[in-house]
Amino acid sequence: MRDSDLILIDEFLSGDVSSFEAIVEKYHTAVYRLAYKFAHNADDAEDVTQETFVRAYESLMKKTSSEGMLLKPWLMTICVNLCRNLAKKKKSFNFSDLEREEEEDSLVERLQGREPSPRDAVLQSEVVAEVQKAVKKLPAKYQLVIDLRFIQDLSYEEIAEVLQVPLNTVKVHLNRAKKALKSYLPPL
Amino acid sequence: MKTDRLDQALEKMQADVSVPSGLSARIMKAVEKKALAIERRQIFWGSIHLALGVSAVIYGFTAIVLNLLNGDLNGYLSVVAEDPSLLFTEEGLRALFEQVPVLSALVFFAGLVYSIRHLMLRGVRIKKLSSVMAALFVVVAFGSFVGGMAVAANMSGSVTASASEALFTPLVTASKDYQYSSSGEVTSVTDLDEDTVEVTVLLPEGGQKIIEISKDSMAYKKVIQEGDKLFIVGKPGGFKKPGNMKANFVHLFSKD
Repeated sequence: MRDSDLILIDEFLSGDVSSFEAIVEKYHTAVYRLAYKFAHNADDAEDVTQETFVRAYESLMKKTSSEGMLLKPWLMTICVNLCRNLAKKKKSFNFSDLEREEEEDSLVERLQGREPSPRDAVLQSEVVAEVQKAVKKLPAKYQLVIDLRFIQDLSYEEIAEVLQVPLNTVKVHLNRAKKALKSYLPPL
Repeated sequence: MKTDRLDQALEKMQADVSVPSGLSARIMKAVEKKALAIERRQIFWGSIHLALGVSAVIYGFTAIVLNLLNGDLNGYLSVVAEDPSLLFTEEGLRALFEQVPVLSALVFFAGLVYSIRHLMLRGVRIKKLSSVMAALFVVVAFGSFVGGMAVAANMSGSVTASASEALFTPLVTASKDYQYSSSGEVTSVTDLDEDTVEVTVLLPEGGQKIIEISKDSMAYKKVIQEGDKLFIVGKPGGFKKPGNMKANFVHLFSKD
């Protein structure tokens, strides 16, 4: 996957502008979904996504080599930076909260507090749906790291780079989120 | 729920945000708009940088041409060709540096390198570079033609030289202290005192120069005699005899 990204970048750098279209086609969904996590509305998410690719294009025009470039985390970092600017204006996301730790008990309370426990209702085929529902009840920062780790398939290091937080914070967030989910969801 | 089960479930999760239809097309439209703006900006700044570079090239090149036309480099070169060992003497080298317009050459090459580097940085592909170089050559040739015409006009006296002099004099004159340089044939050598000799040089452009040469100088040590050819650079006035020229350096080109 990364090799194909590098090929796309190299093609673009050698003058094939159409390869940027392939980059957009490949990553616009992931970027949009990430932007939506921060913006919480479709219009802002679309604006951020467009601006992300425009900035990426501008930045690629100045590059001479694809060496050391990881396209997806790079695009997501641009996206997060734009979301950071947006959040300052619209208060759509509390970025300073990203590095703050939650008490584990409060996380479980949060999961249990809003809806009745699905302990008895869970069937094997519905586990994923229940997990997804439970994830949505987590604070936004935990949802974000779970999304980046399990849906966007980024490594811990890449998540830390994208969110511009220490690697340890990413590990702690994921660990706490999983602990909370584990204690909330029924044993299988 | 066990951790491995939870991990499996998390990995199977699907993104819950649906992407609006036609998003990639709208992104590409925005990118194309931006690309156009970038291209325009690049053309604008590229033109300015290129114009500066080419101006420097023309300026330097024309100054070199003017210097060659006005100076005595040809005479110097012909003498050096006869006796290349002159280049290894202090005065020979100094005379060479005095004749070669170092600053103009520097401006010319710096302008050339700047223009080429700028074109390459701006993403001009190698295949296009040859045509750009050809264009640059045409511009330089045009510049030198204009410079040459100006010199010719100046020589024929049809236009005043003040503009071109004002423009090029600082470049053409390698050292502003030296107000005169020429080569000529020695017609007489007279002892002035124990340190200095007075040498009369017949100039090719007509007239003569009387110069004072230290007996310590390399030229004198080669024993200047009548019929020798001298290359002299110096400034007039303020010497032992009014009207004489003290040579800042003198090179004995050839001895008859």
